[in-house]
Amino acid sequence: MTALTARPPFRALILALAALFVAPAIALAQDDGPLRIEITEGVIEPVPYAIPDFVPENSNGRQYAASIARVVAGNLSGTGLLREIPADAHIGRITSFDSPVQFSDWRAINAEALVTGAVAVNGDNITVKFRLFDVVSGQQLGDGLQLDGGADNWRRMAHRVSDAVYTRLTGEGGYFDSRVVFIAESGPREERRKQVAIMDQDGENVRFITDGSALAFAPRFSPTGDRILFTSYETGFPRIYLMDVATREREMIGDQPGTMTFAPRFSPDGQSVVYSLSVAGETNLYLLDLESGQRTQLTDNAAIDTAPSFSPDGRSLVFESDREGTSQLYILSVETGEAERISFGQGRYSTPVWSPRGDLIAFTKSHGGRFHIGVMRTDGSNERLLTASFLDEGPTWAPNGRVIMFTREQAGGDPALYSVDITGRNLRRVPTPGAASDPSWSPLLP
Amino acid sequence: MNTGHKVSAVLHGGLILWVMLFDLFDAPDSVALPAVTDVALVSTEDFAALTRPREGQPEPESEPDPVAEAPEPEPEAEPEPEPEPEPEPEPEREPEPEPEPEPEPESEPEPEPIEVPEPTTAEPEPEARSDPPEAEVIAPTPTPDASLRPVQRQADRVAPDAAPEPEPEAETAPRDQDATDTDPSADPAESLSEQDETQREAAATETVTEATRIDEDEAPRRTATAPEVSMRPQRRPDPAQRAEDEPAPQETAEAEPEPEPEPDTESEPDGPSSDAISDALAQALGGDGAPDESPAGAEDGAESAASLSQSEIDRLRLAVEECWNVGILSSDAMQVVVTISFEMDRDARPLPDTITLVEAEGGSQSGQLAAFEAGRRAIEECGMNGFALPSELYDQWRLVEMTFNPARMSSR
Repeated sequence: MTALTARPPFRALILALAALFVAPAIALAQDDGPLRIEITEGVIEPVPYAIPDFVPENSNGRQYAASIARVVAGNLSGTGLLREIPADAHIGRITSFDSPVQFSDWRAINAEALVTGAVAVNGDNITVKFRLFDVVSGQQLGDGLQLDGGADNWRRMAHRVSDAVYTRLTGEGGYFDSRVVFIAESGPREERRKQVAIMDQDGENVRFITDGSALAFAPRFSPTGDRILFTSYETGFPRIYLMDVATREREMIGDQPGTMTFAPRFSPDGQSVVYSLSVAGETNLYLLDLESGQRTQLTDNAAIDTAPSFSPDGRSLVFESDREGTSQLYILSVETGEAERISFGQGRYSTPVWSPRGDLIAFTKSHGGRFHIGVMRTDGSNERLLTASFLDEGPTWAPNGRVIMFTREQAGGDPALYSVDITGRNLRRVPTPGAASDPSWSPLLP
Repeated sequence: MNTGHKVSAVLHGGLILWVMLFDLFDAPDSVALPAVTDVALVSTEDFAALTRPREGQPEPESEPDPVAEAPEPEPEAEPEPEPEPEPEPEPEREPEPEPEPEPEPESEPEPEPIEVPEPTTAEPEPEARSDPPEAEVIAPTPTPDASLRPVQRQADRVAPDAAPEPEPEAETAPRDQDATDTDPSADPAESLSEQDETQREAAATETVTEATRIDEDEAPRRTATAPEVSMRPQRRPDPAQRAEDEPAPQETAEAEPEPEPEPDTESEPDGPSSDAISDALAQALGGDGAPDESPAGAEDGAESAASLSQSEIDRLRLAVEECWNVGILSSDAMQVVVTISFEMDRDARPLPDTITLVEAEGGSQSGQLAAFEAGRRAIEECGMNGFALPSELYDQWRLVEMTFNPARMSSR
């Protein structure tokens, strides 16, 4: 202790020297402006939000008040980007659509976003309005929205509310007010019944549009969502049919010589159909003008070229071909007719689909006894595998290019539809009444 | 020369005597030693477990008790030893750690995890549940070391895991599990992998796809490499404390220049302290003094000698990063680099009205808007209770300009 008491003079000397030399240096290093900080690391987690039941503005609106809120919550939470705080945890109550929100009640339960709404039903018409709030800042995000329509379309209104909320929070378009056409499978494997069916993207409102008397597969929505292409064995050979969704009228498109025509897909303008035609052992790509019926051959070789998909601008299409031994992906310029291989990884690549954004291509990849759904850039770079399973295949893009739906089949099991975010997160099964395969996502409904 | 030798001899002799009599070289060692003391951490539960047997010591130490209790665990041990060849330690330890050590890291509720490890034997479970009162009596029977171990493990495990879990109150699990529960129809490994994914999406710092699994060490890696934040004393230490703290600054003075500014502020005792007190009084009496005081800079001039340390800046950065949630941003918004400026009150809480967009680069307009709001939410949410910043350096962090650059996150 004596030594300790003898040290302060030395310490004071050291501190004095430090004050003389170090402190001025630090002071000189300061910036007179604001404290500048760069944030480069963040977290990736669902945003907690609350959506209490919508307020019924008349007695008839009560039957929809809770239902619409539940549909919206199902959509938003189904993205994996948002996490609903259950109603039993709510402190605040929304009793009037126009009354001010007590944000402290919602901050207390850690909600970051709040969706409020109201429903009124007058005769056959339903009016739905909603607001979105940022609970943290206590501000309304964007303008409120009011939707009017038939009461039997209340689910579509809920989907539109979901799209508006999603767009405001994420900065990209929604995909909830859309449909999916797929193959509904039933019966034993040796006598499989395959029907074309349409449902809302959340698995509701399933409707069968073929009777199942003939095998059908590969249904594809038109860019406007009002027509469907599919392949059917109605004549004993696979042939491509075009169906009007509203009237259910259908017709075999163009002249289809050869043994097989399959893998049809619309061009971006909806005026043409590109498909595979197998003639004399060669399978090549053809483009059919729906108006004139004129057919143009796009590829010509002894290999199997199939699964074509147009780029959003219609200038290129991606397809799979085994012209170099194994199934790989190629980009074909419609103008020049030249094809360039873009997949060079290990394994086989198939069923490519161009993203509606135009920036990515989704594909099926089989490698090492496993099947994957993956995405790559249009030049083949930055390949990312999103899933891994016994059998994953047939990706289709959501209208906003953020989500991919595909078919998954487990060993010995029935096929089912799954969706996954393009980041690889939020893999989940899409509810269907039975076995389902080969989905095709529609654009946003008009 | 003779006189020189004599003088030298006298001086050396005197020096030797001084050293021997006044312990010149021993003093520092003796000083350093008491500064290092071994401290054993004992939790409240641990302490309670230790004190209980002492109160009842006369009973268990009178050895008839363990003997009397022995027949109780023995029948339990007899069925158990057949599958598990260690009968003696198990019945003794089980009653104590059963509810605590093993199940707790998996889930907080104590009784539920107990059922998982021992689902087959229904009888021992109710006995074990009825045991806890007995466990207090049985505990003293083994050696003190054996009784202490499970308690210490319990304290260690509870502390780190329990804190983050209370937040996920929202029960989103059922919905995610529905989706994954339908998978396991074929591959159990498949279902497990999907369950992992749904778990990760709730608190992932990086993208984890089903196809490409990333080691679980990825998330901790970031926190492990993050610069550690060292707490600095906000007030002047007492002279007595200063004397005790002397060994530490001598050892770390070269590596950490931070402590040096503090003594500097201490060397100006009247200014900062009186200002701090007056500030506190003004805030207490004036109520809304915080925002009004922001432009005041007269008192700040007296503190200009000190500056924010890098660790304090890092602490602010890390605090905002914890709330910067980019998971909801679109790929377009992830291309946007936004710079946001804001002011803070003296409690280091951001003033919402001052949060403004300075600049946004890249992306579409809607993407820029979403990116700005994500940054604003991070600032407001994590600053709601005030950032950990030294109040005496208020002028240096009153105005902040944060640039949110998601380039590194977009690749995950």
